[in-house]
Amino acid sequence: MKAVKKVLSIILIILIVLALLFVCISVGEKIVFAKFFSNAQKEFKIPGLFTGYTPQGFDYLENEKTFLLTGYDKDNESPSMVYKVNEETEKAEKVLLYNKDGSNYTSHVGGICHYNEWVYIAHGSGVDMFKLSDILDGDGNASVVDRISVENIELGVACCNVYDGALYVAEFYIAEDYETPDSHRMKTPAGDDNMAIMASYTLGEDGKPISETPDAIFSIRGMVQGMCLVNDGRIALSTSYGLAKSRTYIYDAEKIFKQENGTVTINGISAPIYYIDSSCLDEEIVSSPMAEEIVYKDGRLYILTESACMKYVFGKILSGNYVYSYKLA
Amino acid sequence: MKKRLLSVIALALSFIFLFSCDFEEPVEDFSNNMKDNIIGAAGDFFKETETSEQSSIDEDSSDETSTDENTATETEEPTETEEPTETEEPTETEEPTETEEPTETEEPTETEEPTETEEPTETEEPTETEEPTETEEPTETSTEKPEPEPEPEPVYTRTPPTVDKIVGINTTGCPTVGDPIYTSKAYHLIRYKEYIGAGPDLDGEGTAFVRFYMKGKEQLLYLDYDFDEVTPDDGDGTYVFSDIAKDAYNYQNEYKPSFTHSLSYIELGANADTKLSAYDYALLLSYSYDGHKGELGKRYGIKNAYEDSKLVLGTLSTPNKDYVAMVMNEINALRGDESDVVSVIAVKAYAPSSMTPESAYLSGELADLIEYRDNNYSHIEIAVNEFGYNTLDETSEYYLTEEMQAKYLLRTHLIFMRLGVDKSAIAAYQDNIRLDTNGFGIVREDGSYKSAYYYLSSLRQILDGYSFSEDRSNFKCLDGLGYGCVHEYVFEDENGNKAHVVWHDGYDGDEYNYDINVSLDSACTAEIYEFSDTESATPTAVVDTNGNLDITVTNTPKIIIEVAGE
Repeated sequence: MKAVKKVLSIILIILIVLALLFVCISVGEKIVFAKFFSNAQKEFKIPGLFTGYTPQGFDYLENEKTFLLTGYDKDNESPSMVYKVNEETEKAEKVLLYNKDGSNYTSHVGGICHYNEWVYIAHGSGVDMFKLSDILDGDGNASVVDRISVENIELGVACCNVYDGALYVAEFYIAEDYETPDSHRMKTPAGDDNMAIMASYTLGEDGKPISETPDAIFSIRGMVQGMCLVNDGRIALSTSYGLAKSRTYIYDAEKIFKQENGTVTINGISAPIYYIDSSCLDEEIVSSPMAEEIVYKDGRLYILTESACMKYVFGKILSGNYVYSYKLA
Repeated sequence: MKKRLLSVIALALSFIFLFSCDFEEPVEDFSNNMKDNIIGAAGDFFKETETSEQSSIDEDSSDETSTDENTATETEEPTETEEPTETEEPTETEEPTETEEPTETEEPTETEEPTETEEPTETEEPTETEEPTETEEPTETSTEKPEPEPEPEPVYTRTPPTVDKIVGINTTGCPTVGDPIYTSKAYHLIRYKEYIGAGPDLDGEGTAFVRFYMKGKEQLLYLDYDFDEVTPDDGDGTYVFSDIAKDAYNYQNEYKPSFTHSLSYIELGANADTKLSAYDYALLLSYSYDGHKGELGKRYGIKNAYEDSKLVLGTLSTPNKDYVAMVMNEINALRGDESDVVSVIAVKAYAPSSMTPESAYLSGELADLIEYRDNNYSHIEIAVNEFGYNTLDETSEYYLTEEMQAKYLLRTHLIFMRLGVDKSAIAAYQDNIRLDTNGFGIVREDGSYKSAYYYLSSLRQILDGYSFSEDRSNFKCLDGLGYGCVHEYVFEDENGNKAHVVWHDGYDGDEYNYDINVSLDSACTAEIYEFSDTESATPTAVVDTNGNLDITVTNTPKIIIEVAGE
């Protein structure tokens, strides 16, 4: 009897401790990121967080009022996937991705965007093209149809977006783990050491770039996980790595384009170069760790994080279960 | 029990500490611990956290040793400095300054305005946070004797255009303008028309703008006011001058250069020379430039929306030098100084098809206007914003067959460069039966290309980067009286490479055996380009020369590019 009592009291203590811990961490997060949370609101619950799904890419389909979230499976063998989340009902549907030959598509799927009838998903040195109709048709499967390669400029695509008929692809840099070629590393006019690039390509009717030469190259900082344009003429780059605080940098496009620019040549391919650096920085948003791609909508920045997936778990006791939107200045 | 509780609290506190630490720096060491986590191998999070926590603390204390993460360190600081400024004391200190010395405070306001176009109260703050020293300085100096304002030096930056930059188009009525393929192939200067009031409702009109960074392309927005309905502010017109100045501000503000827009030229209506007095037009330009030196307010005039915006005088109905001179004089009188209000003088210059382009343009009104510009305002650009030939209406005085349209447009562009025209835009890119420019397009209404499209496309490719350098025309003429004379223009790129363009201005079939002097070394190679209905820009012949090249000259220009010998 005594032993049972002792066990029960230990369990009780553990429960109290866990509850206390949960409260402390949760409150702690709100204190540490007070500025973020005072301007942010919960939008919807990230689906699949108790499966192997690891969130990565994030996009919004205006016509369908639907968010698209990509992610890979933490076992790295099961197919990567796209979750469709209806904006109004918040109902989520999973679409598993497959290669052309029917094998599992196990890419890291760091980014997703769309243009006309196509959905682009970041994969290695390029983006894979899926039919939007295939993603939306409700059968839960979609297969690669085509591919856009940016291997000629040695760009490993971490995130992507499409604006005004132009595809933007950006790479991720972190010392040692994700190195970039020397030709991608530049000292900017402000003196920053930008370690990565983003390239833009005009898309043709077939959804592929009309030229293998980029329209422009943008020199960007490292650790970029997502980018989007903000309606007031700014560009946002979301950065994160591991447990570091996520930081979203918002730059003034007018200042970017006013800087002296020239041409950069990468692997013999020349394109105009623009520097996105600290001299153009307009706003910085600090938020909870592991922010991935971002979406701009109606004056708010929607931030997807991966911290609450089963691979990292800790976000479950933080705010990582939800997509938050941040009201921009 | 107490011990356990304490350890739990300690653990909780350590978590809070964990997130209050800045982990941006530690990534190098930290990344080693987290590598597997991030790149896919399943990791034990809690185990990682413990090690990462330790490593982050270590890293924080020795972050100077980190080399690759300089950028992160640099950007961190601005945030911290930005945040406190949001509480904004500077705003309060600034206001009294403004009331004290209005004339002085106007200037800082002017320099701030371009970034503060939309929401004055809100947007003023970030600017102040960005340049706190600048905003503070006037406060201090304003109590002292105002210093004489430094005279802004006019910047004379006009340089002769390269061939690829002079070939522009009007998009009027063009249904394919929104197509990204089109915008990427678009000619350098793109003149969009925005109908004000009742105009034809054309899908996509004025809405598609090429991206700013697409290889230096420029866009001009033509606000199509009917000057019959426009009066000064004290008049009773449908539109008064300050309305137009406000529109100019709004359009420039909405479409200023960004990732998705590229508008930097604003043009206010056409044919002012037939409707407005020189004084009225000068006043309208001053209003639309900077709200008449700021008198109208912050949201008037293009400069208040975008600092580098350029205002166009015109487009005038003809190259009317006298009217331009009167307007320029009025502007200077109105504003009390030599002003940079006008960046471009734009005119229409249609040449009847009964005249060759050479006889129509090489002397006459356009040449006179350019001479006036050269002598008085050498920094102002000349744009011929409407010209061309009609291939559909045989009764038109501008009618030509498609083949002749191609030849004449090609020669017209070469002559424009010879004269010193800086920009030009063919009357219409595409035919459209609903418009009076129908037939002037270089693309048919069904989207197929006329010869002119191919010729101009090839011209831009072959002479990409070349500027006019020398006129070596010898005026050797077929009849000895000025008909069918040979023209030879030399173009040069920034590396000194030369290109010769030769043609005669006679009718079809009149061909010359013309001995062209290639002035490089004696053992050079010449690439000869002829124009045809193809977009390719490959030479039709590559010949070795001994400094001289015999070539048959026709009324379609041929281009000879000098290639240095081995």
